[in-house]
Amino acid sequence: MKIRIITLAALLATQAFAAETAFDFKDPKGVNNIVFKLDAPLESISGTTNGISGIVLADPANPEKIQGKIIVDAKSLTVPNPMMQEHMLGAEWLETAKYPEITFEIKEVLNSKKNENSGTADVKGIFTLKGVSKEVIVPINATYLPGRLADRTGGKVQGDLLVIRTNFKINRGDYGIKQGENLDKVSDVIEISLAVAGAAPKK
Amino acid sequence: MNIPFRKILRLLALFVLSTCLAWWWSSGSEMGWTKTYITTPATDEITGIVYEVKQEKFVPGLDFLVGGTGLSFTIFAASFLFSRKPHQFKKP
Repeated sequence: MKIRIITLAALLATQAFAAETAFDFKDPKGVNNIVFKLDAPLESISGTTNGISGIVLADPANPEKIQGKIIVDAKSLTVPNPMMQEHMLGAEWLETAKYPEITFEIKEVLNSKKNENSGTADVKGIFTLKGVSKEVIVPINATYLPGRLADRTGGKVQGDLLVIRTNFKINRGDYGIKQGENLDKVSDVIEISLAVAGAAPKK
Repeated sequence: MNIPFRKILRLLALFVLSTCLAWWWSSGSEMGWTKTYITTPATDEITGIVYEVKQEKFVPGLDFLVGGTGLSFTIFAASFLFSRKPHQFKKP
């Protein structure tokens, strides 16, 4: 009897997670990108990164069930001015030698609205920057593209794609990045725009 | 032709200033910092993601203009250290 119950529980658990697919956000094409903007009274800074990776487990039929982590290689952040980039990655600002990763770990999905293969939601997660972790809620727009991985790989790999887009703001001071300093040249508010596609190859 | 060194320095200062100004202006009068690359937007056909394609290009900014102007004024100021007339070598 006990074995039957355990077997049934295991079967139910397997079925509950059977529809979850692992989407890998490491993009060999370099299309996945994050744009960050800081608009201070004296200076406007805009930069990008393609150094994005991470695995997200998602069930396209059930958007509430999503978990995973997006990781950004902090050293991959670039701005067009080399001296500014050196300062940004250096010990005074992002200290990338000590804190090489910027992460966002999904904790909970709120207010999800589904419309066929796309949907919106507010994702509550833990954003970690320069070793400081804070809970944030970001509005996301997700699009599920079943079978479109083949189009992206020239038919070499079959599978699905999950596209996630989000725009949100953080304050650098909250993450211990020169709080209250240089505000005329480096804005406290950082506007972040993320557009990434995760691939789930079919085995 | 015997041009005083003072005059040569002043011409050099003018050349540096005009070159920096012309370079900055012809590169699009960038009002921010000097850039070593520019980006052009592109769209991924499958995902619709808009991304930036980087292209290496030197775009002088205001810092370049300020640096060039500073160098020009330094050369101009240095010209005052030299005499107005060409140096005359006295025959023994």
